[in-house]
Formats: sequence, C-alpha cells, structure tokens
Amino acid sequence: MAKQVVGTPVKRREDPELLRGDARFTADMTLPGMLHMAILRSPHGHARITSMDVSAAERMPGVVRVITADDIATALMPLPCIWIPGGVESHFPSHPFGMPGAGRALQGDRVRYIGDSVAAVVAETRLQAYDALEAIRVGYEVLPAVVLAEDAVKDGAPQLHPEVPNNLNALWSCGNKDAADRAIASAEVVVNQVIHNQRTINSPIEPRAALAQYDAASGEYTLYATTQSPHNHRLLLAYMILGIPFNKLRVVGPNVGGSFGTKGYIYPDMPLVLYLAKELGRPVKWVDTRNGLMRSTVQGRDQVQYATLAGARDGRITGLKCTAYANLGAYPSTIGPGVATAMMGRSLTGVYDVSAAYCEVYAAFTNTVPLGAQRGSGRAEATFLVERLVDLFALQIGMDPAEVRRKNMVAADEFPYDNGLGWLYDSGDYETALNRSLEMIGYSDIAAKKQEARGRGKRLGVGMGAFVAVSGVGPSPRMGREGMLGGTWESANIRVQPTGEVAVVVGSKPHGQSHETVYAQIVAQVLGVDINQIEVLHSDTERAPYGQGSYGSRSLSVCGPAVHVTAEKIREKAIKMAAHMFEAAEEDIVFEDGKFSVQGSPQTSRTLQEVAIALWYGWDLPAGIEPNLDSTTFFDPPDFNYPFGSHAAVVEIDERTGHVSLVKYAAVSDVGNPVNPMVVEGQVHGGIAHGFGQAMFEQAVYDDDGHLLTDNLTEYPLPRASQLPNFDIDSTVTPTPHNPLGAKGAGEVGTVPCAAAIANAVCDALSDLGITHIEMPITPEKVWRAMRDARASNGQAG
Amino acid sequence: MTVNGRPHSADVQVRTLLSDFLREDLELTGTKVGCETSQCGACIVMLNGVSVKSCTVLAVQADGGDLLTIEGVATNGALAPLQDGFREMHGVQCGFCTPGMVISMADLIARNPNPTEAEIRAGLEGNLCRCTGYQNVVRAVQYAVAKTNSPVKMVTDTDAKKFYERQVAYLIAGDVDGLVDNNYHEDATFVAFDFTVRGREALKYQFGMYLRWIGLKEVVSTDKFTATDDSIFFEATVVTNRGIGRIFDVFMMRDGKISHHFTGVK
Repeated sequence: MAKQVVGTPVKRREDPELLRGDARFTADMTLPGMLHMAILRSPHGHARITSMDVSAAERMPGVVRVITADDIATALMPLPCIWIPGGVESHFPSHPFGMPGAGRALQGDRVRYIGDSVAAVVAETRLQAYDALEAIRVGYEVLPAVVLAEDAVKDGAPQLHPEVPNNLNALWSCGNKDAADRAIASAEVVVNQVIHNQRTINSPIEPRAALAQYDAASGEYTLYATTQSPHNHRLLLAYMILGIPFNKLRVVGPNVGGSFGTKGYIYPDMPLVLYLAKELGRPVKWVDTRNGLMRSTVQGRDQVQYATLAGARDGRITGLKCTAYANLGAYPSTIGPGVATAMMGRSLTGVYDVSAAYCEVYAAFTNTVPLGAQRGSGRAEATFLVERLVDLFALQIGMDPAEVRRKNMVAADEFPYDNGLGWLYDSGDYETALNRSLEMIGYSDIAAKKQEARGRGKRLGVGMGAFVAVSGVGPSPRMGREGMLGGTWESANIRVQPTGEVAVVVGSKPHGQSHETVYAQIVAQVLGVDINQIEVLHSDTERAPYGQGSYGSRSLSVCGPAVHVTAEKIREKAIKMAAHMFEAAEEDIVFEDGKFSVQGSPQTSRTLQEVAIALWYGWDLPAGIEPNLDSTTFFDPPDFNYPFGSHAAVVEIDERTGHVSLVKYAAVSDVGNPVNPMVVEGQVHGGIAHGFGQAMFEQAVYDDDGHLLTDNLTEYPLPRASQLPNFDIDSTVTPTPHNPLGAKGAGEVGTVPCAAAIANAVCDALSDLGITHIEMPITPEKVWRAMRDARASNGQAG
Repeated sequence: MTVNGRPHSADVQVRTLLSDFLREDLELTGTKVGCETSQCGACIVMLNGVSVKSCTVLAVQADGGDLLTIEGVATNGALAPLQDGFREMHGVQCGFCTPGMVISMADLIARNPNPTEAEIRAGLEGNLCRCTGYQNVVRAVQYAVAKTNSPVKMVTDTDAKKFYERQVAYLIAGDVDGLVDNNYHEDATFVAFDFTVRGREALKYQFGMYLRWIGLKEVVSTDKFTATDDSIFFEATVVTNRGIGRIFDVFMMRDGKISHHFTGVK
C-alpha cells in the first residue's frame, strides 16, 4: 500500500535555512566590484520638471554616475502594461510597441505621482549614493492634482496623459444591464449603498531590491530581484524595455520576503540597474527603503462602489448592480487595469444565484501610486460589496442574515454554475461551509453573549462573510480574451538522475508558499520515493526556463498538476523500461515504494535509480523509447477553479472609545483536495490577518495635491499579534474537476471574505442605534462619531 | 565587540547603524532590514543579553559589547528549541521576519520562562509579520517553552517507562488495535471528561475516533512521571491537530496491563 504523502502536514524543507539566517534574499547579495544605486523620487503629486542640475551630485565623494531621463531616452523603452481590459475600448499612454506604456524608468518632463522617479545616482557605497541624491537640484512647476478616480473622469479635472481623455482608461462592464435595471425597477425591496473600498498598501516586510550584472565577454545580463515572476520579468525587460536578445538575460529571484501581489510588476529600478551595469562595467545594486516602498510599490483595492441590491420580501435576491470607480494610479501598472475591472466585476454575485446582475467599472488614472493586485484582488472588493448588501437587505426585511444567505446560495447540486458575469463555478457546497462557520462562532448563543458583554460596557456583534474566489489563473485562451498579453499556463520538468535523485523544475516562484515541500509531496506520492530524495528547483530562468510565476492563487492548482502529470509520465516510462529489463509485459510490472518487480516475484526488483541509470546508458532500450528518465509538461488549466468558504467574526466595541476588538474568528475554507493541510492553514491565517488590517486601520491617505501622508509604518500600521485572536479553522473538501489533483488555489481564501465578516459584525453591534453601514478602515474615531451622531439624532445624550 | 562568540573590530562612520555594520561589514546578512522607523523588528539582535532593534542602534553604541545574531543561535548545526518550534508549528512562511522573531522570542523566554499566550502576543509587539497571522508563531513559542522546561524526559529505564513509550508509539503510528490488544485488559475502562467506556472493542472505537478527529502528532515533553506497583501517572505537552496542549493520564495497572485509564486536559 503506497504511503500517503499528499494530504499530510509534512514539515517544510525551506525552514532550516531560513531559521539559521543562511537563506539569501536579494538585499543580502553582494558581487565583486558592486556599485550602489539610489533613486530620486518626486516630492510632488503632479508637476512639470522645469530644470535638472546633477552637477553637484556628480562631484560628491564616491559618485560614479548620475543619470536622468535624457540618458535613457533611447536605451530604455517605457514600462509596458500587459493587461488591457478585454472587450472594451481602452485608452493608455503609449509605448513605442503600440501597446500601453506605464511611464518611463526616469521621467524628464512631468512627474505624475509622489514616488515617480526622476534621476538615479550610482556610487561606491549605498550611503554615498543617498548623500548624493540630496545634491541633485530639480526645478518643479507644481500642477493641480486629482487623487480620486470619480473626480478624475469629470470634465475639468487635471489631465495626466494626453492620449487618455478624461483620464479614463476604460469603461468596462459585464452582465446584463437591462435585466438588472428591470429587476431593480420592479423589486419589492431595493437596497442602495455607497462603499469606499479604500486604497491599501500591501507592505510585505521585505522592501524591493534589484542587483544586475553584465558580462562583456558573453554579452549576458543577470538580474537578481525581488520578483514573483522571473519569467515575465525576463520577457518584458529583454523584449520590450531593453531591446536585448531574450537569451542574453537571466533573471533570478532569490528568497523573496513576501509579496502579496506587488513583486510581479516591472518597476523602474529593474531596467535601470541592468542598463547601468552594462554602462559602468560593474554590478549595480539597489535596495528600496520602506518609505520608497510606500511611495512606489503598487498599491491595492481603491474603488468607490455605487451598489444596488434588488430583492423580494421573502428574502430572494432578484438583482444586483454596481457602478464602480477604480483608481489605477498615475500609470497603468504591468497588470493593474485588468485587476481593477474583470477580477472585481465578474465576482459581483459571490456565492449567490442572481440571474440579473450587472457591473460597470470606470478605470481611471489619478495622481497616486500605480495600482496593482493586493492579496484577493478584485474578489475581496466584490465580496465586501455583496456581503454588506446582503446584510443590509436582511436588516430591511427583518430576516436573519444567515437565512437570507441560505435562501440565495447556489445549491450544491447546481454545479457547474454560470454566474452570468463570466465565471463558471466548478464545484461547491456553500451552505455547508456557512453552517459550519456559524456553528464554530456560536451563532445560536449570540443574544446571551451580547447581554453578557453589555454588562462589561461592550457592544458585541457577530458578522459573516461567505465567499467564492476565482483562482488558478488561468486558462490561457480565456485570459487572452480577457485582455492579458501573456500566457498563463505552467510548466514542470522532472528528471530522475542516473544516481537516483529526483529533480523537479517548476515555473512557479514561491515567496513563502512552501512550494519546495508541496511539489516534493506530489512527486513522492506518484513515484513512491522518499521525499528527501526529491529536490525542487525554481526561480532562476537559467535553471527553470519556463513559467509564469506565482500570483492569483495559481501555483498549487496550475503548477501542481503540471508536476503531477509529469511524475506520472516518468512512472509510465520507467515501467516501460522496467518491463523491458525484466522481459515482462508492462501490465505485469508492480511499482511500489520506488521499486519495480514482476507480479508474483517480489524478491527480484529494480529501484528507480537502476532504471534511471539504464536509461542514461542507453545500451538496451525498448523500441520507441529515448534515453534518459526526463519529462516535461506544460499545463494549461481548462478553466479557473473556485475555492470558497465562509467566515464569521465576533467583535466587541467599547462604549466609551469606539475601539473595536476582534474577539473570535471562525474560518471554513474549501480548497478542494489539500496537498499539505498545514501549509493551507498557514495561508488562511495570514490571509485573515491581511483582511483584518484593511478592515480595522490600514489606509493609504493622500492629500489633494497627491502627497502620500501614510508613507511609513507609523502612519500605516500593520496588524500585530496582540490585536488578533486565535482563529478557529476548519475546512470542507469539494474537489475541482479541472486538474488531476482536485486541488484549488489556497493563497487568498483567508483574505477575500475577512473584511466583510468584520464590517458586518461591527454593524451588527451598532444596529440597535440605527447605524447600518460604516466605512473601512473601522477606526475607533469613526465608530465613536457614528454612535454619537446616532444618539444625537435619536434625541439621546452622546 | 564579540559577535556570536567571535571578536571583531573596525573603524566606522559614526552614523553607521548596527544593522548595516552586521550586514555589510561583517557580512552577517541573517539580520534583515524592513523599515526605517523601528517598527518591523526584522533587525532584532541580542546586545549584552537584551534584544534590541539594530536599525536603531549605532554600531559605535555596541562598542565593547557582546552580540548574538540569528547566525549564532543554532549550536554546531543543531537548531535551538525555539527554531525547532518554528519548524514544527509552521511559524515560517517567507522567512524574512523570522530572524528577528527568533531573537525577540528568545529574549522573552529568557525573561519569562512560562509565558501565557497573552504575554507571548504582547511580547510580539515589536515584530511584524505579514505572512503568518502570528498564530503559528505563538504556537512555536509555546512549543519551545515546553521543550525548554522539560529538557530531560525520563532518565531511568524502567518497565513503566518502556510501557509508556510503547503506548506513545502505538498512538503516533495510529495502531489502535495494537495499542488496545497489547496494553489493556479485556475489561479495561477508559474515563475521560464526562464519559466512560469499557471493554476492548469500545476502547478501540474511542481511540480510533480520537486519532481521527484530534490526532496525536508528537509528545513534546513528559514530566511528573510517577510509577508505583499498580499505577502510572504523568503529564505531557502534546501536539495534536488542534495545536499544542497539556494532558494528564493515570493508568491503574494489573499484571502489566491497564485496567483503568483516566485522562484529562489541563
């Protein structure tokens, strides 16, 4: 009986190196002769550059070169955007290749956001480079700025790009507008709510960094960078920015300290270090500061949503409509426009069966940091909207919000389910997850708990968030139609070395998700070899030439199947060879625990290594078989997969201060068949903390001139251990038919419903005061003011 | 100064931060830099026995000092209990905050050998993590506390100890039949929480349920182990599917097998 490895909580092989401090991250790397780069960023949200004087900086100690936009005008093309919202007319600033351009690595005539880069200094030491920044004299003529998407599209707003009238990148939509309007017009109950899903800053603990090297003899460039997509970076940098042969650029991602969506984009520092490494004949390294990160690494969420739910008094939802204004920031980031439109709009109906739904998104440019994905991108914004609307609906008709959800959820026997907005949900059982989460939170006991809390001067509230999150990006033809200028398949190559070790080469790029462990589990299961015999190689385009990186919860459910299918091909070929070696029929070969034998003669066996070396020698191969035990698969998933679940939160609000404590949190997730349940649970924990941060206190705040007021970790706090309870975690298993593992993406399921569950809990705690909605982040001041205003209008003392 | 037991000396600019001196001058890149405002804690090292944020200490302030960085925590390649705990409890994902976490928590445990969960969470105020949500970090610390506080499991090689170890082996292997047939009398009783079962079949059913729903992954430490002619008593810190917990057991023995087994959770 094969030992079960998949589905077990195997400890991570990544850990010892990380725990000893030996694991190298980009900023830890040094190369001989290395120089250091610093970037000068705009201090204004919107300004014309009127003068640029670098002469003083050039004379400073240790400075080797100072460059501005003119120096790279022909050497570096603008940074490309590769996700153009599909099916609609889009306007972008241009790129010479006739595609969207996201601004140049250094701006020469205009800066459009607070972190826009205008000059770069290279010096012998990092401190010398930063010292020289201060000696660069830039003259700015400050221009009026616009920081809200809704303002940017109005006539008279400051124009960011000449090619983009009204700053409108695209008006994108999905669903059936007529049906939705009819449903609203004829509904017994209509709920309208404006929601500001605020701008957040992803804030991984590791700031970005890039180190480039150029070898004049071979003409080869190497870039070490904090990347979650080395292959995409290679293509975009070589092909579209530097104009160098693809073969001459190697991109390596060392250990990456978290990303949550931000490190898959092309940033100015990447082409700059490559260019300078060649120019100067020495490696050039750049490490961002936290302040630099806040001002220039892509930010997330940021939509104003005008949402409407139409329903009947009996609790049935008959229609959903949303008009959203999405803020793309100053330039189209590498995939920002697609994230802000399709990922949100198509997810609008959530877990509910709503036939008349429509979503339109105005995606607009403003003088803020460019927008990108943040963990749960699009899906969290849609889930927050629909889960809040459902609670408001339940309040209006006087029905238990859990009951309203049950009445409208897609039933377990209705899959595959077409949500009418472009997603085909593969499998699910939403009601079981909801009921389990409510059981875990003690839903039936809440009245008693509220009573008890009142005695302590606290208002207690319970909230729920049911969700489904499109994951496993994605089927390439579909992504192409969605406007993605790229493929979204994944690759795995497995070779059994003549000495018996198994090398698994993958195209995903782990940055905390335990790929080295989980892929080894998959291979160990199929080949029956000891997991310690398996090595997973990744993150270096020289070693792992094909892939798309990790994002959109795709690694386990797109790369994992590639690994699985390849392992099976290896087993199949090895069985053929073993049959040949035993002079037996293939059907008679028993392959167990890494050994081959003939049925009925277990005493004579060959190990996988013996078969592998026989294939390596190639002295005597069966007909039609090539030497070596090596196989590759490119897996293009037939469709997205749809993990789902339900969260429930209990909060306590202090009557005097408005402070909200999260006292209990239950999360039920369904990610299909888990390969490593320990890893999945860790992902859920982290995802919940992420959602908690947005719900409670995270917000990127800009003033009207485009200055970022929250540009360090004091102004933009991250969740701390003392603010979080232990999360009660459970799971259900509903496999997907779309890959042989039956596995769904797991990286974002913790975040997608979390803010909604917490916001719903807060509103539940305040509902007796007549407060129905509160905007995120739910700070004590907001809650305190809401309570005071409600009491005043109720004629009570504040 | 000494760093991880080795002497170092250098001339530095006064403005050189200790974090930069460690990472750039001494090439000890295990200590990380995540912010400039002393929030994130990725830079935490031990200076003269106290955990400090090395990004907010000037290198010259550490003159003559004794430093411990993450590279010095493991001894002769063996991970310290705290590092073990992070691995066992999956308290590491991207690993960037981990060096700072380990040193910070080492300081916590040194000052407070038996921290409550609330004390651990409060002790993590100076460490930011964006990956784990902190839950498994807390468990890692609890694991280390249990392991540190019980350095020696049982010294004497007695029959009682061997019997106990057989029990544990069966449970971890999931071999309920072997456990009950070999270690319990035909009419043995098992008393737990608010119920009692009697007889081997009932016990097999009960233990099978336990393993399926709660599981037993590891016995981290066993202490208060007492054996008399007809009884064995012990407390243990165990790792189950639910996390880390503390249990106690009493075996009433007859002819080398259990006649009555009492158990509870502390």
